[in-house]
Amino acid sequence: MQPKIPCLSMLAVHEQCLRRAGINAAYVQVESTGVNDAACRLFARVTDMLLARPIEQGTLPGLDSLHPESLSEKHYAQLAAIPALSDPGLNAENQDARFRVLRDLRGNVGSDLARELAARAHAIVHDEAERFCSALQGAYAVAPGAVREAVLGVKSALERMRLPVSNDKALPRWLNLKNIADKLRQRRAVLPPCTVKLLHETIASEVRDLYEVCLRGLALTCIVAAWGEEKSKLLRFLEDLAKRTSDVVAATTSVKKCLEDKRASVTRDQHVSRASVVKPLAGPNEDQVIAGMLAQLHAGDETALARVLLDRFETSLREVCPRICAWIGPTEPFPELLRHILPDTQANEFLVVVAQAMGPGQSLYEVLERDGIDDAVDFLYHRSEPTVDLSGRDMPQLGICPERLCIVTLPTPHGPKDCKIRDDARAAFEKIDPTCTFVDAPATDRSVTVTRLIIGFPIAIEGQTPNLLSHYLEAKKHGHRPHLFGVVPESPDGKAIDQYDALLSISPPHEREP
Amino acid sequence: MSDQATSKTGFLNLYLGGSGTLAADPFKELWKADGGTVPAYAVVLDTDNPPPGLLDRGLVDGFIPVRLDADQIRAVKATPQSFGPTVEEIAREVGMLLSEEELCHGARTTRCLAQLLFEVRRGDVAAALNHHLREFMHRGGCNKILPVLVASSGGGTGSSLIILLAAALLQNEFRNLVLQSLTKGLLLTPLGFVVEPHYRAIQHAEQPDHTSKILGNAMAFRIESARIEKLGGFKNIYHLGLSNTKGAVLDSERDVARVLGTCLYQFEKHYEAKIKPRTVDTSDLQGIFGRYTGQDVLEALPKRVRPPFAAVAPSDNGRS
Repeated sequence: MQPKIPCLSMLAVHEQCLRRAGINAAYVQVESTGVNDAACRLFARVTDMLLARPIEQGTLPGLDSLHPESLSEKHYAQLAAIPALSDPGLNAENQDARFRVLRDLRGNVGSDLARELAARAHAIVHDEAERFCSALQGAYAVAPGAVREAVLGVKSALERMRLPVSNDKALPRWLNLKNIADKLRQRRAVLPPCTVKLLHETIASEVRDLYEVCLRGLALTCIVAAWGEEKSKLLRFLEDLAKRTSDVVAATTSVKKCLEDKRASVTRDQHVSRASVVKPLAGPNEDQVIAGMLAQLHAGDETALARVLLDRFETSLREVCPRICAWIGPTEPFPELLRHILPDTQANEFLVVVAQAMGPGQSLYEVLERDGIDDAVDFLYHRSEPTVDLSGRDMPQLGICPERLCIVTLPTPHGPKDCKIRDDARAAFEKIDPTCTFVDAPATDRSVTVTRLIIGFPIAIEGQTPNLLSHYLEAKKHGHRPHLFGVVPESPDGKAIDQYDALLSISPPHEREP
Repeated sequence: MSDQATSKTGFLNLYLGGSGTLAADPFKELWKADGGTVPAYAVVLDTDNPPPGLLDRGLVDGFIPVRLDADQIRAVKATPQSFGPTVEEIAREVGMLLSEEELCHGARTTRCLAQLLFEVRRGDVAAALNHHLREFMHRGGCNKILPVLVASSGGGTGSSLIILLAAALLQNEFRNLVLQSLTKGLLLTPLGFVVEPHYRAIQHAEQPDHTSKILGNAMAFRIESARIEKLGGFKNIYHLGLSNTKGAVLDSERDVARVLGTCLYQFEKHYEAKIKPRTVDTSDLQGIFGRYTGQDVLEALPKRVRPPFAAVAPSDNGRS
């Protein structure tokens, strides 16, 4: 009977490169959803607070300031200052000159004066609309929820607004009086002089009144024409602002959903097997987290706490904005940041804000300390051992000296005792393995992770090879072709390599080595 | 004037097959939590449809299908010689497995079927990789890209594609297609991240034949990858097994996914600063010059104890 000889379960082992490696990771997990529950509860308060903020008194100008009639008063004052349109008094010659100008303007005769009047009217309407929009924009930055209601009201009022119509009868009446005055002049020899004088004075007086009516009418006509253009721009602005405020509401809803999804994910991860690479730590519940935060931030109640968190959340989004949302300036209004930064990112930032505000005894490090630093470090270091077995052949005499690395990722300290606990944890790791490398985790990562690598051995010495070889040859019996065609010269057709039968016959895996 | 350009290495994660894709979600979660600071780009290659939501949720940046529809399979069966000698050989040897109905759903644990699909789609895969490389360079601004091939060693698709891609990148024709209009030195030698299929085998424990197929594939992967390594096709291959000596057992898909994604992320995050500086003088050199020198190998056994049918060359004790 052929003796069974221990030998590695692969052929051409001496030709294999030492390029195989193993890697594994272990990490801690706080076994409660307290932080996530608190974040969900507090985020709802924070968004309610933001969306319920009222618009401060006096921030928005009244809608009357936009009405064409009030705008035309401003324009009238401007027109009256123009020499060609200024008050003619009772002087007939001046009155005739004003009439001609007003008639030409009324008849839309193109002239420099007509263009100047249109431009001035446009400027008045535009400036007022700009002022109104700017005020709304300012209110949006502070109270997006209230602005939403205001915008709907303004839109509705604008749509209902009936544009005033100027008095068209004044100029024809003026023409009549002018004709009467002309005829009077022609017949002055027939009438008594005092009568002629009285009639002229009466006509001049009425003409002066009509001049004022015509000038106001002209101002109103110019304003109404400019208002037509500006109104559509204003309505577009209001539409856009309404959409933006709706987007803010939708964004906060999405962030809330992300927080809830994260809570659900943490809940799912809670169940941890004893053979896992996850070290569970008992953490605080929702009420404990909030109680701790109230104490830490000296807040009287949850409303005050929400106010502080809202400010911190805004600061946090402004800090990350250049990195993750560079097309929005960090000084943009807060609602714009809410609209543009991804909900998942906002949820992460809010969780960081909550974690940083946690009270004493509740940070990850404090939980770790309560659970036992040495115990946790021992678990993490040993459970993260790579899941490859080198069969005891990692020895210099056999040419195998793999490189071993251990990278420990530690979260940033938040609580007052965290720095000391972190140092203790580092010391515990270094006691087990002085070559450990330590790195800081990102701000949103509240876990200690240990990653271990072993690099530089041939696959032949890996402990599972004999077992896999058995299955390789077993599958061959059932006609399975485990190989790719032509990759290894010994298997041009994908079939299991015959020489491997020899290995199994010489050194079956179930035989103990002598 | 000296040119002090700082080299920036990006990681092109190629998730191959279903098990390779397990890493996508946990990796992306860690990547996002870290503010996207690691320059990484992820593409799935599979012979089956990707899991729903993979692209929509932004877990990966692209998907390259390595599949044929029913008509195309019929065409390949009708004239396999038009697709190259490998396809012709596979069609001749395992033609009974080339079912239009079944092959549409992936390679299903038969590695050479994935090979056939890859060979027919070779040009498309190369073109798609070129597209994704350019896309990555636009986003990441990298001047070196390290491909990381992530797969299971026991399935039909992942364990095939990891070998096929590594081997193809050694061939000038394929490499030139992938690097079309890009600089030749852009792509570094690939790394492999390989999950041993024990957790899958455990799921099929009641079907010992199927279990043997899965684990037999894993053995075949070891043999083939040793050859590709020797040819310079892999820089390193990282294995994730089932258990270690300290009580860890990773036998559920959830645990495997979490550990695979975490290991991949931590590796890429710390590669430049912590891992490469440690290995450059040690394991990297050992990878080139080092060899196993133990005598417990078949080739070193005295001829008298070797079976007559074991026609193997005597070992030179690692001197070559």
